[in-house]
Amino acid sequence: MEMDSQENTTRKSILFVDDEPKVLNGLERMLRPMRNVWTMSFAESSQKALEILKDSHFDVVVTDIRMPVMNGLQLLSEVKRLYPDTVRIILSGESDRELTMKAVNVSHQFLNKPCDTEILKAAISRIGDLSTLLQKDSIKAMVSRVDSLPSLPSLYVEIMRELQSNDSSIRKIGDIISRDLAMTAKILQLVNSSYFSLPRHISSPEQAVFLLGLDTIKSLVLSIQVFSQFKLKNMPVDYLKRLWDHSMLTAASSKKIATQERQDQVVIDNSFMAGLLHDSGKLVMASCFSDRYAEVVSMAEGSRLLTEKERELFDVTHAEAGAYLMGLWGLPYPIIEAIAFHHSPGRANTKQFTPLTAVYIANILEGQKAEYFTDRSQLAVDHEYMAAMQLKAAYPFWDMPEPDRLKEASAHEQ
Amino acid sequence: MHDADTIMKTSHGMQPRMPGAGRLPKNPDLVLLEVENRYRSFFENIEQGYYEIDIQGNFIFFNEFVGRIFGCPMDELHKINYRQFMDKENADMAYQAFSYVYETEKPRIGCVFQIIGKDGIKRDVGFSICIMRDSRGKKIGFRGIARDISERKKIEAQQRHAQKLESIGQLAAGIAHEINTPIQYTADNTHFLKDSFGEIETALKSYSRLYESVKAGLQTKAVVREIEKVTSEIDLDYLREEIPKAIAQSLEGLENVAKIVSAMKQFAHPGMDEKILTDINKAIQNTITISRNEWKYVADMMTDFDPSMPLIACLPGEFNQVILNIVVNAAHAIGDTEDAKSGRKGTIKVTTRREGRWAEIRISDTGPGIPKEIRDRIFDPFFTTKEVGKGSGQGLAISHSVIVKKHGGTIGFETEINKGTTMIIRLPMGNGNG
Repeated sequence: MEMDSQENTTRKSILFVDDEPKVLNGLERMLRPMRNVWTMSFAESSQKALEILKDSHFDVVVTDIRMPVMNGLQLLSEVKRLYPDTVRIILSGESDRELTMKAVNVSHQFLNKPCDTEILKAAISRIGDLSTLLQKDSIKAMVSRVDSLPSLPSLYVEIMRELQSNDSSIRKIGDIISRDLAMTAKILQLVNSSYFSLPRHISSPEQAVFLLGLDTIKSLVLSIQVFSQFKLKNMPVDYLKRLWDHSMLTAASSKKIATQERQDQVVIDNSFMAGLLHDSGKLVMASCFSDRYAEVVSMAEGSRLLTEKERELFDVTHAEAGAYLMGLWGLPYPIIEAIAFHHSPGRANTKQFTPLTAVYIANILEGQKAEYFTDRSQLAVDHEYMAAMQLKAAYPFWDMPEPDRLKEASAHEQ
Repeated sequence: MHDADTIMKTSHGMQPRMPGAGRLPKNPDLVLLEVENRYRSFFENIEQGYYEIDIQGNFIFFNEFVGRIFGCPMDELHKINYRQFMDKENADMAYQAFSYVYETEKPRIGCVFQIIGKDGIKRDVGFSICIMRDSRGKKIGFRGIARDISERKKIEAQQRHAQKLESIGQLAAGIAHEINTPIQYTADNTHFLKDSFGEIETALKSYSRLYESVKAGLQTKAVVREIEKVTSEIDLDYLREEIPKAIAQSLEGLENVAKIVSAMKQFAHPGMDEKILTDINKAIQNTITISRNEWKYVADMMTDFDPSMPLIACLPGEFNQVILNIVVNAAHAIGDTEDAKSGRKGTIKVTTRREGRWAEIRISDTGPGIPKEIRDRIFDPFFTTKEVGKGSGQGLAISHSVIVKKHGGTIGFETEINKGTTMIIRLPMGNGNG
């Protein structure tokens, strides 16, 4: 995956932790072909790992769970506290469900032992690529620390009620989760990473809920508390409502576009989920910057371009922040790409239809339809990208301005 | 035992009141009728069988429930001998029980015989037996209560099975972890060997070129430089050092996996209901191997087996289950100590010895010891100090029943607060007719 970058040449540093020295020896040998790209260190215990971390910064920590004295989960929660920008991955043969569930809140990804070499390499490489999305370590740290996105309070109440009822229905729970982008994102993390050893491609949030099963969902939500609700006082309620409506509509529309363009089922499924999550970065920003982000929300609804305002104030856009966190959570690459570039598809360097294409078009269509969305950056169209996609259907915005011309126009306005 | 308790409690709680007692007598005939009605209704509706048999064992008086238990209509049961509803083994046991009551004149409770009803259904029936005398005091037969306990027996069997599944489920998670680890490093090493061979082959190609040059008497300077470049690029020294290690560790990993798999096979003994002569040292070692993941984080394991231990007749599956229960308990006990929480490992020591006619197995832990107030309860069914969900409290109760009832052995313990506990199992050597 190439997320346009100049910085990709910097070496990534990775710390592996396992109480079995033979596992570390094996990893070191197996990953030897990466020696020119990665700097690898190895620790035989959590305490040693923490000592090594004191001396130098690591991009990624990969740890076993069951270790004497201080287990991998305790290690990761320390890492989370002390070095929040370090990405936390578990590589474990653990099958104890209780421990696995506890792992959800301290790790970004979960890899099962025995782990295929290519999967391990890909997981770590992807983190290297992702980090090019966010330039500043301080922002990486802020985003990495987010372990759950805020849900719409009404949906949060609804799911809690359903889960606590004596005859909770998995169908209803699936339905509620699929209407909430925050819950959907979390559930996708759980199934896409191998926390529960489930198949990697899933077709919808509802299916993910079915795969996890009622008991697991109950424990995850009620005792591990993987969901949370919006608590920001200054965030206008109608804004949240609109953001949720917009996400749902974009999801449905993305799916329709992918279907219309006769894409295969995997692309269609991913288009739907990418559409639902394309603005998840706004929740990430709200979590990281709390009430300061509410300020942007109301301002951005005026005439200024939202992403530019975000960059100016926070040094990061919601597209970047969302893609980065969803990437850390191990969501499928096409979804990450769609989130990262939903305002600028040309930067994705792909020459064929992907969920990004569907989300890009759907976002504009929804933006056109909905009067409340006055974020005009979304109303510009990258004609070059659209032409390259060789779309089958005609979309009602071919005559819209190019992004650059729009920028000039808005500059004149001021 | 429990049932006796319950009965006692009820009889204390609700004193049966004689009808009419404490009141002015009405018509004596009426009172008598009332009393008779009351006892008849009690006799007919009590959910238990009441029987009286003569000295030969023929039914002379009984309620409907006896008929139900024996799968036989009431009118057909009269004057029939109980032995007709039993196979020889049970009939002999019953005869012994009745003889004992006849001779000692002491009542017996909780005698369980298998009844083959007239309807062909086998039922486990619990009897209480009392001597019955005529008005002159002559022993004329027996009376007592009969209860169908098949259901209860079935539940007990299910509980044993559930406990076995519970510990196997827990084991399976541990075993998966034990196997995954060597597979992970063996696979990693093999990948490394594959990559290394590719690199060595590039070096070999340069060496062949050197060989060709030398053979043809050509200039070798360029080839030598090439070899120097290639060997430093691929870090040949590193490869020569690491490859043998990678091979050795991979073999070790495979050996570990093979060991665990073979121990698992020997642990389970599915469907083995008969006693077989067993090398208990080996069986214990096996159980220690497959439960490694349960204890290795909290304790070191020491074993001291008597090499002269003869083969012992036992039910290997159930014996292994007992050892597993005790080893896991020992690990949990050590895990509860402050030492374990601060990272210092405890010790589990397993020894086998011959003690007279017994084979003795001692499993010691350095845990906190068993508190005084619960010492006499640890073998009770459902007694557990573990948090809810961590154990059914059946482990030791079942271990007790396996060792004592099924093997004719003994199980006990020595314990000292803050020092640890030693569980002591004794199995009879020789034929072991327990």
